Amino acid sequence: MGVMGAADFITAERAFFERGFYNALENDLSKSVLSPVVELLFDGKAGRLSPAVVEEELARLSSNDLRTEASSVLYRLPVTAQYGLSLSGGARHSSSILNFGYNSALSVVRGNSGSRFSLNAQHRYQPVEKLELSVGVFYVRRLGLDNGVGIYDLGTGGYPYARLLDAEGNPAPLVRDFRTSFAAAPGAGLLDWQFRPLQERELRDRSDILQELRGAFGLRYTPVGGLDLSLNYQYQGQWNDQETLYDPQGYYVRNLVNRFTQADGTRIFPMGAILEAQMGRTVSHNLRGQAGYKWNAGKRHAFDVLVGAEAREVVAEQGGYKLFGYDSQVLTFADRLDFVTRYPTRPRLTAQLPTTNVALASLTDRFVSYYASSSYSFLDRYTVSGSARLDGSNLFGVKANQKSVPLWSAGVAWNVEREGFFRVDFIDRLKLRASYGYNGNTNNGITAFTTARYSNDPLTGQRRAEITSPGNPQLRWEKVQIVNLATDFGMFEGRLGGTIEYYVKKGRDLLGRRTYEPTTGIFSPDIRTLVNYAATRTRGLDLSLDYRSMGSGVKWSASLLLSHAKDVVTDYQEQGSLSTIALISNSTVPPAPGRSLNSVYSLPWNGLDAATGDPLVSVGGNLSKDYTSYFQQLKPEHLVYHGRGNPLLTGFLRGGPIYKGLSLSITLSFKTGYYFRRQGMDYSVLFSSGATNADFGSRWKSPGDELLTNVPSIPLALNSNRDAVYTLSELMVERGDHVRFQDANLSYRFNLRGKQRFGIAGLEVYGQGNNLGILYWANRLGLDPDTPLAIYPLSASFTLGLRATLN
Amino acid sequence: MMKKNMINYPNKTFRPLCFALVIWCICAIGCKQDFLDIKSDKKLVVPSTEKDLQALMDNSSVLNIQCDPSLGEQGADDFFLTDIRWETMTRAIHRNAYIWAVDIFETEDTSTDWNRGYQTVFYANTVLDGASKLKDQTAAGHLRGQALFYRAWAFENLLQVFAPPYIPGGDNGRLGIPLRLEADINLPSVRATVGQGYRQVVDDLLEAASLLPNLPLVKTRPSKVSAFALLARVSLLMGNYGQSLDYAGRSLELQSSLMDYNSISLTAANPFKPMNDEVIYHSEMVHPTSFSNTRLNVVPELYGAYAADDLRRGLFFFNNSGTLAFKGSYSTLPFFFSGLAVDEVMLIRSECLARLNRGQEALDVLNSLLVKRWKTGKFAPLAPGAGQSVLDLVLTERRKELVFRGLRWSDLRRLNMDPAYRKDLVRTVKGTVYRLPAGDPRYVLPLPFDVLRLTGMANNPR
Repeated sequence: MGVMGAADFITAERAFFERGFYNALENDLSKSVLSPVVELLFDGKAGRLSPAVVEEELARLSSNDLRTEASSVLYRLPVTAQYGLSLSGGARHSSSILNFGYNSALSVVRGNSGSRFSLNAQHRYQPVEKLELSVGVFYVRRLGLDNGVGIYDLGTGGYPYARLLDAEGNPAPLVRDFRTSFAAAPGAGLLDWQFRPLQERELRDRSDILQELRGAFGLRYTPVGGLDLSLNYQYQGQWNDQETLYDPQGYYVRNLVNRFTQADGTRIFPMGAILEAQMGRTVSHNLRGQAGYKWNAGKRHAFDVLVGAEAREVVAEQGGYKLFGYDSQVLTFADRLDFVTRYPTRPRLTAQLPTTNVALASLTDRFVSYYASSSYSFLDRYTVSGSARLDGSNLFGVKANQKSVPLWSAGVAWNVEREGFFRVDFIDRLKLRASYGYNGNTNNGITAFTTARYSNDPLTGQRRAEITSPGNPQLRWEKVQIVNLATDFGMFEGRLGGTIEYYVKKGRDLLGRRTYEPTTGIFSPDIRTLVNYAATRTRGLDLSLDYRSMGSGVKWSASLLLSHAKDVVTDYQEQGSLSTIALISNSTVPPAPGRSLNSVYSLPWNGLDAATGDPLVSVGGNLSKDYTSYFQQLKPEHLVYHGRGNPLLTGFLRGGPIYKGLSLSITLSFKTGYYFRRQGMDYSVLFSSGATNADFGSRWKSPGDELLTNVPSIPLALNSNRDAVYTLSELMVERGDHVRFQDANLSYRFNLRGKQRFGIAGLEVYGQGNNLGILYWANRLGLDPDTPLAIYPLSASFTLGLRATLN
Repeated sequence: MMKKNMINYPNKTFRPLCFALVIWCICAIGCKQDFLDIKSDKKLVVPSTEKDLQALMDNSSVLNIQCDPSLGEQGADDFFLTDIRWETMTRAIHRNAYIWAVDIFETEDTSTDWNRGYQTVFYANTVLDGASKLKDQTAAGHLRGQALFYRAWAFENLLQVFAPPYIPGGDNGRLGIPLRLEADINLPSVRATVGQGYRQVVDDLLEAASLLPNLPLVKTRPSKVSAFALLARVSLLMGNYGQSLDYAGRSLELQSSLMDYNSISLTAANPFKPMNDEVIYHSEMVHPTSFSNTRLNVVPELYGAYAADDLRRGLFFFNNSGTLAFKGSYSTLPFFFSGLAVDEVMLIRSECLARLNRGQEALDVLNSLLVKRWKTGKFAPLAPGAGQSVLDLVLTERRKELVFRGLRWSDLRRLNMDPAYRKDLVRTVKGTVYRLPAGDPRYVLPLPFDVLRLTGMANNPR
């Protein structure tokens, strides 16, 4: 919901100042952050600056606009370039493909960029007719340089009137950890203590290298007709190296050195760079064996069976180190530091040196699956089929029988167009299908036993454990029953094809989070307390249509995907577990049967008080400003129900013309039938974190305004309930319907017939634009319903590419 | 021809298929045996071994850091807030606790003071469950001792805030706190009586004292010293002065050293180290905004009670630009120490002696503490003045020594039952005078809303 301009922000700060909200910080020994405006106002109040100077300075600040400055200084138009080269060759018993790719990208944030190199080689070999071997190797290396500073990285100091460059065009300081009057004059023996975001960009070197190697081996043996045996193995290794080098001139180092500089000038924290490195390694093995058998008895009966098993293991390990006083020229660092002593710190108190700890992790996921399926068809018209599967994984803290979940399904199909009686000229293909099945779902958040996680205790250095789940011996799998009816069709000699699918999913014993009463000892949201708590029914209709024009000249192609899904709760067993205000602010209102699990609710709005601009609430049938009683008496049935929080209908439309080598394709997407909540003016949040809101400009200022605006006045004292009456009100709920211009693609393929040079068989250039904007919004404010809280709209990105094929 | 095929063909080709199936089955079953038994995260355990259970008891973030209730201390008479400092506290609960409002939670649904206490109880019960299944009886006993202490510690603290005071020799059948003695989170919470609550604490501590080692490995862990020190504290609250004296003595037998305040820097911002020589058991209070050094103002009546040569004047307090702030915590500031220390046990011993009419012994104990608190050579042993009893003296010194330890609220509650020491509290905020007369029902805080709603337990009358 937009942001406040500098002038509005200053107005708010002055109002807070006059009401004394900052008084506690005036002489604060911890030198807590104060904004430049509040510092000025204190200077004016104490007589250090004359009222005229203060006003002049404030007027100067009001004319600044951080967002405008940031959009040119911190951001740019992102550009991606892609290059591809592919080689293929083959002989009688073997064939090979070799692909190279290279991409480079400049991100939207200045200072962030990346590149990607990939290589893919595949070889197939058939020593005898019944045996086929395949080998593939895939390698990719990604490099990311992440030194940019975005507007969200500016932290506390990112006031709307902040400047990133000073009048001379040099990086300007921003408020960071301490108030400016302290940080700007740190005293003798201390380093500069100011934070200049634009300088930081140059003083940090952060790189992230990801390498991946995949190797695949496949063996296929067909000893007799109809029998097909195969064995596949895949290895995947991923290595991730992240390194950040903080220059000693950067704020990170200077701040630590200053904080630990003693009264006699001794520096406890070593001067020099800080190097942080994190290494990760993920290795996976995947093995699959499968046997299939197809059998045709005459021309009437066709029968097939498939059985298989698959096992997978993924091991992820992580570690790293952190070096203080590091010298990148000669590779030395400070390693005899005292992490135990509490040293006096500036501006006050004492602290231990920050540790160089890097958390270690070792995670293993294992997965085993057995599956079988079979089908029988008669006359190639009528088919019955069945399948079953058992998936097991190494869930932790569950009983042995909860490690695996079964699923099965059965279906019938009918190829109508093969019937003799079916004579509709323009229909080439018509198939009707129906299936019925059961799925079991499990979740790695569930445990039957109490589980705990080890770590180091920061106070005592002892090994300690923390309970992560209290365990629930009554846990069951989620069960989903699916009924599916579908038809596949083709018309007009293949010009139009598509599928219509209708399904009903009934979920039972769905897993959800339970709120325990805190006397049990469970109150932290970090503790996993899943229980089987609800049943739902989802009815959906999916439609996909493909159109291709035939003939020569300009060819058109288009595809449309529509998906309509409506879920309703049919049973819910966790009533009244939270207070109403907690429910609505976390969007966890207990779903009423007949409504979606994800529903949007709000507080009814009763307008503003004519005398003060305070929002009014209904207490015992009368309009009042007693917010405390209001929230205590609020029940879920008092809330306004708007509708679903998830789109009821979503769709994609992709298509465009092709003329010879030139092709254009655009993609539009849309979502409809849902609601979202935007942000409203919250004075408590504005005061505590500086989060701004454009509503401020139209707030209630004087009697009579209540007829024109719904934005509450600046309060005399901060009251988060008063804020909640407005920010959670029905005024903040907007329709989410919108149409988005997702992407556009333009490519040209050169016609090289007869002009092949250097073995180039194909050459293609292309340009691509993503996130090209929203074409239609249902909300009146022009908010992007997918990112309603963003300061900047989602930015468009562009790619240019070249692809060559060699023979 | 056709018929022959129908019979033979399947047999011939089903042979390899069956073969493949058999191979596959063997593979699959061979794989499955323990393939899925490996841990998904090396750091995760189902706590069952001695090492795991001890690690739960060593979680200081849960059991020692900012876990003791401070809703009482916020209503005690050792500090005041200026109007602007009171008004600008963002959480209503802190403003309301200061003025003893009937409803202190307003829209806050849940209470950290309550939750942290019962989190400790849950950890303790989990370890008690686990310890009962251990084969090694020594290890089991050691763990059981620790868990019983932690649970008693939490119950004792909760009783001071959410239950009426214990009436020595009187009727203690009023509703106290729920005594959850099992880790099973599906069991309902039910309030026990005040008498049952104190009985549970004493019984748990007596058993713990028999199981715990004399001294702890780290001061976040309990020991015999801390079990006896807490028994002395609880017995004092229950008016069992003879027993309290005995427990205090047993604790002091094992640990009695005091810091000499002359060796501590008066100018240091955080003069006392956490887990220093005097600390028996380390624990901290939940930290409300009202305790920040820019808000909390020590009442002049208390500050004036420290003599010029009393080092505590400069070690406990400092002038923070016009605010008389507190820095005497035996923990890392800004957090207030609320654990057990030798000075408290000495003051319990002194008070019990005074109450048992052993005035001279009481004075000796008191003076041996105070001599370490005054500038060297300046301390003259105290003796009661005209119209003053030894107990008067001990209680005055108790308040001065144990300031902001989380003890003042329960002292007010028990002393209000004695007409000689009852005190009516008064606070003025923005021109409104708030009063808390001795024995007022608001000395018992209300239960948080979420607990009331989800358990159906009765609230405390205010």
